[in-house]
Amino acid sequence: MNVRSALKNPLLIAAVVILFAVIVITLFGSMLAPHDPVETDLSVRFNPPSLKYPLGNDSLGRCLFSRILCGARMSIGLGIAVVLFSCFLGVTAGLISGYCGGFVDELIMRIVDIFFSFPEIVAAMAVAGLMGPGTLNLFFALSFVNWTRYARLVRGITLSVRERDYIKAAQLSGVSRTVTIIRHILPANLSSIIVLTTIGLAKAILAVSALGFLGFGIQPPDPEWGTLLMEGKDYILSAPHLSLYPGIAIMLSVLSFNLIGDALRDIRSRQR
Amino acid sequence: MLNLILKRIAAAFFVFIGATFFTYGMMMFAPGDAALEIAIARYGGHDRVDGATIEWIKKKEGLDKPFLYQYCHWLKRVVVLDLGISLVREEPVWQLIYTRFARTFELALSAIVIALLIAVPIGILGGVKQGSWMDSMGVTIAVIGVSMPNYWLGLVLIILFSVKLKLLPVFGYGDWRHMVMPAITLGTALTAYTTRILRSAIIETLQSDYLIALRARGISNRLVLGKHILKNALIPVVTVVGLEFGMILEGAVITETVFAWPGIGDLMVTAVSDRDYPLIQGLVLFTAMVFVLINFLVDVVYRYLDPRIRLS
Repeated sequence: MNVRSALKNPLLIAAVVILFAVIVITLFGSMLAPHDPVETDLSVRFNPPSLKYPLGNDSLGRCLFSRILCGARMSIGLGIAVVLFSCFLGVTAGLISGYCGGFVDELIMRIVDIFFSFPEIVAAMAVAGLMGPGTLNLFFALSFVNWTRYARLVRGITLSVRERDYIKAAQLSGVSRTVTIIRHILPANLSSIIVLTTIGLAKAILAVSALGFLGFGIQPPDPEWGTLLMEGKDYILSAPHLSLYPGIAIMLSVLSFNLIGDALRDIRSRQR
Repeated sequence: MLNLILKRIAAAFFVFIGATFFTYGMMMFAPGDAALEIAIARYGGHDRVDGATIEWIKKKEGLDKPFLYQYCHWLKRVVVLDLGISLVREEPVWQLIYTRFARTFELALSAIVIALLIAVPIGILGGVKQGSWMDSMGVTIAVIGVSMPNYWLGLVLIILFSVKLKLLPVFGYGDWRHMVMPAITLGTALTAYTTRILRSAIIETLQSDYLIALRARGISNRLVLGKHILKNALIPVVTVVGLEFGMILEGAVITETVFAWPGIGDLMVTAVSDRDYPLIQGLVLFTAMVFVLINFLVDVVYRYLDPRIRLS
């Protein structure tokens, strides 16, 4: 699949459009919201969707649509932050591990094994339980488990690139180690990193809202998509719309990242 | 082969030491005085705890000793499965984990069965007939399945089957009817994931040289598919189903919360809410160890199945 044929895929076009909308909502959600997301009005509690409140009202009469719009900042923003930080950590570790080899490689990879043995949600919950819930703790807990993926990927590619002639040429002509890694080895990793980051974003958004749903994520009253679902769950029998719409927001954004990630991977594998 | 297994055991042991070290360290760096926390949890409330009690607990639990000493002491008990006593439930942690894990296992097994029953035919069909409408449909459904938050899927199933159709109980543990929705919730992501892996494994096998050789020898398509492609494409599936265990443990935390399924995930959520330190510690350690064990087994089985690796 090349770029032009990718543009003919209707699913992918939809994904790009959704991604664009998600980015706009993440950046300007609070400005687009028709109501104040934390303003309560008990007279409209549990009201189903109406003209004034497009997605209905929650248990305190707050506008669900506005809460979803404002919640994007946390759900998507935190996901992006986690991926960027763990990507930075993992790529650095992977480059060092793959380039240096030997004992350093062995050590870094065993550490990766250790971090890898903690399932993401379980580790993040444990941190939340021990350190207390909070945005910063959540950020570190998720990055703590996520960086290993990048480290493994980058190490593998670096190992094979290291033996290429142009790297040897660079080494022989006296280019310093750091420059060789950054100028010559990192670019060879870039396309794979981009693919993994895109799919990683989908996973991170799911993880952030999963922890919100369990009650260990962003703390109320700040809206976040997973937290909105948790709040809605208690009223699932009387007001199912509260459990429905925040989930659709999560699914659409995750879907757009996954579809674009798949397309990027296809393009890359055809180029090889 | 034996050499390899020994090597893997050494690596697994290293992970065990590292994982226990982290788990124990995490406890130590938790904010607040550990002795005070234990005292509060045990005697219920700040006002019932005095300085003498805290000192007593500190001595008894060895909290006044250096970190490494405490860690080694703790490790010695962990090896004989003594994970301490739950602060809130006042039952041995190992006992709690053990009984709850059986329920999670039951759920996980049905989810894997669902996943394989759906993913294997769709994955094979999609891989063999790449680009057909059935393949495109399978691919689309699979990517939606991967993207669907399982907690939301659980809620939607409840709205549909319990609230609207009144067919299944909303939550709880009991007969098979309680199992249906949790198993589907847990199995959906697995199904989607397995389908994708199997499909690309088949496509990759189809492009391999030995397959061209087989075709050139005039061996019928059906025989090639049944005997050669499937056998090779199932190798990654074995790996994936094993590795998916981590996914299942994560999924179990959420699925069990949605459906109040009394398994290990549900236990974890309550342990974290109660700040029941020994229980959190035990659970984190347990999941990490199960994960290490499964990875180890998958690695050995994988090498055994693939003669290219076994013989080299």
